[in-house]
Amino acid sequence: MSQLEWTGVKAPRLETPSRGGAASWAVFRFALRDLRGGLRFYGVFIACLVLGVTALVGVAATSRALRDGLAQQGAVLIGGDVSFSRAQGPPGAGELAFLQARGTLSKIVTLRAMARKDGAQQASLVEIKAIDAGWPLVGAARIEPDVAGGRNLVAVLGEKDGAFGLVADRAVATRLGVEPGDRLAIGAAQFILKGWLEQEPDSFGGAGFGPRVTMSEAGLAATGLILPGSLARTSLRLKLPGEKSSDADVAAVQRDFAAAFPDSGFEVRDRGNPSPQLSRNIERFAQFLTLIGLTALVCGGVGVGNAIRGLIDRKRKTLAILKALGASGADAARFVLIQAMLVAVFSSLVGVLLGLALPHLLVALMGGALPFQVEPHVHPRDGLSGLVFGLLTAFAFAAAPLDRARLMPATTLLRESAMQEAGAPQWRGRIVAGLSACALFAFALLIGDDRRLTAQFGSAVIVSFALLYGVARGIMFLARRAPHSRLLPLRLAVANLHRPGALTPSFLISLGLGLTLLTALVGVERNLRGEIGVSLPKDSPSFFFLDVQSAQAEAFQAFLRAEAPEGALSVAPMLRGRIVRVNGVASEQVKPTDKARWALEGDRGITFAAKIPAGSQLLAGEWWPEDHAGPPLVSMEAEVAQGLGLKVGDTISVNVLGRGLTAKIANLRKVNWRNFGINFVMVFSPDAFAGAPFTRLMTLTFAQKPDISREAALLAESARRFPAVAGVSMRETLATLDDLLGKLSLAIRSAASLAFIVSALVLAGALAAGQRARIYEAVVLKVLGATRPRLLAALALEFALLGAATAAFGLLAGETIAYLVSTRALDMAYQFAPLQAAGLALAAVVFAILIGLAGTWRILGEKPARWLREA
Amino acid sequence: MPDPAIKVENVNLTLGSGEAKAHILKNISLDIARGETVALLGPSGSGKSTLLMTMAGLEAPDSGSVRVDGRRLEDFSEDELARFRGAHIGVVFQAFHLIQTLTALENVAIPLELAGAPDAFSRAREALKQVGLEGRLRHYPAQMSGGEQQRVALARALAPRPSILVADEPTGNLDQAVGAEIVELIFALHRATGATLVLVTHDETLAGRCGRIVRLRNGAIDSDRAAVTGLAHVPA
Repeated sequence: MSQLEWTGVKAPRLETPSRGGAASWAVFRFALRDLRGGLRFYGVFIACLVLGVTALVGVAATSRALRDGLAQQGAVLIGGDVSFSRAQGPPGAGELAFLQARGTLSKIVTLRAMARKDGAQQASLVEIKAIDAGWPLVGAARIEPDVAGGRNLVAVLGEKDGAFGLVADRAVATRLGVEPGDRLAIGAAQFILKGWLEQEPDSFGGAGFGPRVTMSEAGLAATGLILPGSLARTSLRLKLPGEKSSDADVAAVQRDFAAAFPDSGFEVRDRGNPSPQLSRNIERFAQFLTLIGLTALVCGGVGVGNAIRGLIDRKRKTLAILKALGASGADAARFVLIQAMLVAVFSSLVGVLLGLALPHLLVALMGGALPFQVEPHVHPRDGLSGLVFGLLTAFAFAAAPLDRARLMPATTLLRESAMQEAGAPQWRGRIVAGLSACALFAFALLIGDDRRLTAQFGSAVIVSFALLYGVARGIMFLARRAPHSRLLPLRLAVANLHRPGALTPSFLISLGLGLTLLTALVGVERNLRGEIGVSLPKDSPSFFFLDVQSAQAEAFQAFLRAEAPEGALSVAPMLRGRIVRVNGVASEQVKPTDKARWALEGDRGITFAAKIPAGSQLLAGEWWPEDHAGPPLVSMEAEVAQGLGLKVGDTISVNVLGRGLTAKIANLRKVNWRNFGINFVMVFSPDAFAGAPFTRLMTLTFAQKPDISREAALLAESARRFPAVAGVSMRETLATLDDLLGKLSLAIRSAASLAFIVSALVLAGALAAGQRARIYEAVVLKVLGATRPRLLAALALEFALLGAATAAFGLLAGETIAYLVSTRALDMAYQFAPLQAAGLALAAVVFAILIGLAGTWRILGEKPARWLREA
Repeated sequence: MPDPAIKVENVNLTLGSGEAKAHILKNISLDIARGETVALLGPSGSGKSTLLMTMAGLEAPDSGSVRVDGRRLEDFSEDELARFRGAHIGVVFQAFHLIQTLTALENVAIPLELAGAPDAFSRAREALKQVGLEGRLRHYPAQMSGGEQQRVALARALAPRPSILVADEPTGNLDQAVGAEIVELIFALHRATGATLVLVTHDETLAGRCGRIVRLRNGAIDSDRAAVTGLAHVPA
């Protein structure tokens, strides 16, 4: 045997090192070296962070792109630098002269009316837009086929052989079965469809009651539909001189116009904010999606924590060796932390890149369907905030398990069940985790657009976490105290619910949050759909007839009575008016609540009545005597009045047909909007509009709803005999609403499903973290005679129990949220749907079993000897 | 002549792959008669534990065969083997391998329940009484000492009345005094049940208490002698 020579004997003895930079650098190098071969262990960690950060950055970048697009396209969308529109008759000569002196002016008039194909029975409500030669002042229209051929569109809309030209939205083809070249009748005029309006620059593409048809001013005049009091809306678009006028010029025009014509009743929009309502909707939707994204990120944080636990479990021998070779607990924790944060930086950057790419992808996929052109730009702020969110989340959720690695002695780390034995984190780990979570919350507050909402959401997340964790601990406590079953699979399953390192908290938090969110969304959507669909009250009308002129009113009523003798007819006078002052304060300066803001935007239908309208309930004040002939009084809908800060005795000023009117609030009403009957926010005393021309709004209600063909026939006949009356079918309106709701809920569900994907990942991570303990148990059972079907049954039972517990909590919490949102925020009736709940519960249990078994399938095939040897 | 309790014929086994591949058992043949007590002795890495695992059906040989109670283990599917092992072979490990979330009674009852015994718990209680743990039925493994845990493991191995008891260094994790107690118990239970006993040990004294000592070196049988007489064992 050769003699061994220990050459190291000549080297100097090492001194006990002081902690410092050299040691930290060594740990960093070692962590980096170790990461080369170990990146695959970070799969769930990476996926959770990438998804969460992608969601956050994607939502932020997309909503920014939409906002920017809206602002950049502002001039195109409103058809000029400033637009002035009102529904109370054409502009006065003074107003026109004022605007013409300041730039190029274009006038369009919009109106709803019935259109019929020449010689056919079918009729459809259309949205008329009458343009002048100046249209479009900004942007370009595209007609298919290109009948204009570079000329002004008005040139092809002129009269020829007794018929005017017309271009229309393609939806007209399906509604009326017409093709270019066909003749259409609108009002008293005949039109020839020249082509399809493929691109309408000044359109938000919103869901109107009918498809758009564009005609000339002369064509509109020929229809004979413009009568005093009719619901035509005139819009004046002003383009200031010069290629690019300044915002100050735009503001100056508005200011000067308001000063010159204080009570004109025009609704003014400028290119900077073409649609406050759309901007607000984009903002709200973005906030909502951001909250879902944050939920996904927080859920993903649980996955990060589990992944770190799993990682320490896998690396425990490495850590033990490091500790045995002189590394301190802090060095061991730093080793894992360095790796985790490097991977977190990488994952967050990937998430940031994907998130920033999302608006580009959306534009590429559905740019054509957007109402305005969107050109996304990369904004460093979105990327940076995503990166910070990702890193803070990773750190907050990794802190507690890291602390365990720091505290555990080398001998414990060497044991198979090290992480299971680790117990609760020490105070230091808790404090670090708590501070990181606070930093995450503070950062969300710092960059959030709506701090109140973010604070509410943050609190909700903390409460949900605490609640879910509490429920999980409660289940573990009950499982521990539960009488031990005589059935082995059940006993093993119950034991697995409460053992150290059990999946119960991970399951409850991740799947529980996902399920709560989904249940709440599905619940709100169900109630929303129920409200407008299935549960539509029997007394809701089948038809609305707008714009019934006084001269035709009696004849039209006689027509309806003859055509539908069994129908109940309701009639109300109607005018269009705009609130210009609230208690003497100009409406632009009033700060309404969200629920009342709409009342100040644009024209509102108003009416007058001697008696309180059906469907109204007096809440405050008194109704005026039927023969009231004093100063004008008004009855306000209570919620709007509250939102505008109004009470009985206050005043409200409206502009109707260019005339200002101030009325005292006599009473407040609660209105039942739910039956879609005729009702108004403002009901004036009968003499308030004496002498003013008004139209009538009529509804036709049937005890037994007529079938589609009868509805169509009635509308067609009405359009043929009373072309000026616009008939709206409730069925069609609801279908349009339902379609819109469907699109919205698809977007919401897609976002919610993201939270579900994350929860699946979290569960996969949690399963991976506890895999070794499970395999060990399965192996021991195999030694004792357990077959694979038995092991499978025990595992399935465990996941079914977890799924059932999670489903119970998720459904309870989700339905509670749905109830609160439905009844408090949306003012709807709430109805519980037991079948839907049962379906969701079953789906959650099946999901839990599938994901559980998918994660543990490998266990069944494990050969016992290897594990028994290693243990 | 009756079948031997365990018959190992020309068994070869390699573990690992690539450069880490190691030939652990090299053409091993061994017969163990019913009721016999056999010690597998040898240095670390000699293959004694792997041979024991192979006899218990926990490791499948690459070639050769293992018969237990006349049945070829290679003929069984994985699940059939688990059932067979549960009924015929009791296994005791150095690391006890108790399920931490179940009480002592429940741990002992597992093989009986898996075998479908209707009186699993009363038999488990009886087995625990036999190992002197009637007062610790509801205790969890973590609440018991190492010696007590090994007693539970022993009770669990013997509760189904297996014809063969295999023990892999059963005293390896215990101090000397407790180890001696466990050894006494194992042999007392062997005498009481008449089960064939095969144990792996480093301990010459413990090996000396067996009827036969099989020494392994580098995956092959180095010697096979009756312990008391010191005579070479002649396979039947």
